[in-house]
Amino acid sequence: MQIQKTDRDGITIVAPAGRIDTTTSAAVEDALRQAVDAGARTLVVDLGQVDYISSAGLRVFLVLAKRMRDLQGRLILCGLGGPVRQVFQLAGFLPLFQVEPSQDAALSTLTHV
Amino acid sequence: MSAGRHTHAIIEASAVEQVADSLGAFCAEERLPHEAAWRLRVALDEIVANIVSYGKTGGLAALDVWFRRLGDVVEVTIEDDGPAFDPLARPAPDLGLPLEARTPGGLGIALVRALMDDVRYARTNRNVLTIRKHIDADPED
Repeated sequence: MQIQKTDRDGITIVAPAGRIDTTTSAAVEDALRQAVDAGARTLVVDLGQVDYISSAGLRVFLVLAKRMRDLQGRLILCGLGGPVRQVFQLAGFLPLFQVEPSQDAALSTLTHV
Repeated sequence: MSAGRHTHAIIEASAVEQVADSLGAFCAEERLPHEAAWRLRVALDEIVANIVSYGKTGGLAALDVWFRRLGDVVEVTIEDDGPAFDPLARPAPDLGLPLEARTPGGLGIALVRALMDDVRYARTNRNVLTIRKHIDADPED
């Protein structure tokens, strides 16, 4: 699975591509954990290239949200396409996250406060 | 109606991908719309991952999956040799709880029920789970 990581003005952007399911969720979890371990406290996860997500992937985001809250960090999810958004919605996960339509929208909420 | 497809796998981690590959081939043969294909894919990921994590009995315990198209319905039957376990008997998780109270427990089967039109469990000498998804015309096709 391909996972792109970018740092821009103190904001860490992680963008996985493909599917996030039982087979691939550990790779996404590792990438996010490494980013937070390395000090990322303002994290944008761009799901725009993700085809779909299963509960193994939801678990990764639940753990990440709790950790970022404990660290008083900031977490924004963006680019949730049809299947990804539907699974977040069916699982009741949308209210647990700040969700922005695109990476640009996520970055602008972080830089215009 | 087509002949459908069958796959047989030993209950171990690689079964998840093996079943997903078989589903992919079935969806291509049947030219299933994208919406139905991803819903089936997520549902099967949940079901087979569950069997692998709870269904280890040692030895050569196996699972079998049958894919069938019955008119505008796709039916997938998953049978496994694991210990008797009815996933539908678990209470549904409360999806309205705040972040600190949320756990991933039970999410998988809750998703299966939400993504499929019908989910049934039966116990023979194996666990038999049958899921059905109605196929809507895909506006993109």
